Amino acid sequence: MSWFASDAGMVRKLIVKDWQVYQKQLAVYLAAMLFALGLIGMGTPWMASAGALLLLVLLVVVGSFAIESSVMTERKQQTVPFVMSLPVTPMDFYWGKLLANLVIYLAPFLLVTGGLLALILTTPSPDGAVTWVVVIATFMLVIFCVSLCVAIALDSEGWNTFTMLALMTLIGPFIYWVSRLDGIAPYLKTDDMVWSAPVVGLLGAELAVIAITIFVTSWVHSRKSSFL
Amino acid sequence: MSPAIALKGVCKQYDGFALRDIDLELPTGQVMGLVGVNGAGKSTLLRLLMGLIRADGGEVEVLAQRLPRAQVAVKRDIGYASDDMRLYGGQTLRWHMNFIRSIYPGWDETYAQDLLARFDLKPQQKLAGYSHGQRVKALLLLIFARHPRLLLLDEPTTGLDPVARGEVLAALSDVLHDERRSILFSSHNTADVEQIADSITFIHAGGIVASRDKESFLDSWRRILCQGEWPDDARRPAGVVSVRRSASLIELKTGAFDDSTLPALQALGLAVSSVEPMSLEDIFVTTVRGGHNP
Repeated sequence: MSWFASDAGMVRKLIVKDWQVYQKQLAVYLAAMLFALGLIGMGTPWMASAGALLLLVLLVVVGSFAIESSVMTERKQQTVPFVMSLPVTPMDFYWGKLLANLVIYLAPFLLVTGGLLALILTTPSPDGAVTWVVVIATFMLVIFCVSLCVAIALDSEGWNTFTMLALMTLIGPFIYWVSRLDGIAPYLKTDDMVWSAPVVGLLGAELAVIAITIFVTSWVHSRKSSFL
Repeated sequence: MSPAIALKGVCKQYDGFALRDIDLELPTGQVMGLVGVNGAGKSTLLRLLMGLIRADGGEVEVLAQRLPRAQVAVKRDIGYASDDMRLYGGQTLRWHMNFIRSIYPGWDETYAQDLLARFDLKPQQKLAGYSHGQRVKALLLLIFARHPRLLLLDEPTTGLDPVARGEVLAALSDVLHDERRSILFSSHNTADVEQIADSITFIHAGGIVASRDKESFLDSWRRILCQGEWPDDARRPAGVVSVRRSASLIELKTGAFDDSTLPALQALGLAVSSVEPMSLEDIFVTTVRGGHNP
């Protein structure tokens, strides 16, 4: 079976369908994220810490919500046969589901990342933190993409939940490690925005993990013989 | 005219279950009832025809096109519903209707409105608030209003109350007015099958046990009551599937009843006291228990 979708127009309709189904819940998350950004923007250290923590939690929760609702719950609630009975190939359905989830996640992700970068660049906060934010935000995107791909590729709810939880536990150690990295740590409290070799390498590795995960999932899905 | 469905030597293997060597043909314009117990392979067969699962071997042809190669083109002309299929509970029926209309250019809004009134469905109500019967009717509305050439219905009347069941069967009968439209529907409710099917296929343990047009099917089966001494099995007349003895009364069930059956029994020294037609349910149970292929 081909790895590609047979009909881009149909994939677009599936993405719009998922967006419409989950947009109300997503709006609640976005409102909470705007609130968290507002806390950070207030400038006091206590508010900024509380806002940053809230943003991180919301970004994790919205990713879990998207995967849980649109992949795992749809499987359990038997809406997959309804969608698969439409004039789509299994790969149309796969790309529709993958891209819809990315769109659903990218809306809050871009709001959070863009909001944080805007706050850093437009307030007296040290601009050197930009690279730190970009590396950590991309790591969050990696976690979401890997969790999503595993959920699409495997029918096992146990493995999907385990993967999500296991990846979430990496967030804290990763932030700790990145904050002490040679190419980032020296510039965190300065106004120098330095895209050092370690930062570029780390970003490249993160993007490579996303690409490889999607590549492997596409291969797995193209070899499936049951699509329910 | 090419058949609506043609399966040749189709196999599908699962752990603990296998669909084996399925040869089946549904002529265009006909209604075929697929009858089998739970786990017989009915749903697997329908899913193969929809491309929801892929066969391990054999040829699957639907509307004169090979699957899975032509599945997108074929699915444009198929309406598929199964009893375990669900719509989006958080969305309204109107939302579903708009979604389907955006995909199928042949969506007939006038007919959809007619079905809404007939099924007494509220389009602005969320599907989560619908009863099982309303959900089934909503699903059938979404299918019927786009006028598919082939309907694949997996247990469409399961779990419906008698009123909803009657409405669904009446709507199905209306669909049949179009002679180019074909239907394959599975059920373990033989009364539904007997009511609307032109031909009947029995499926059991992953294999086709019998497949014939309904009239000749019903005509060939009889329950015969006789008196006398039953001979040993070596002399059992052809087609006799079941024999039950109580005192001097013998009950025979045959799947090959014709003009020669009664003389053959009389030649064995049996006095025939009554000959009765059999219901489809009785035929099905006798066939499955007897492992007989008439």
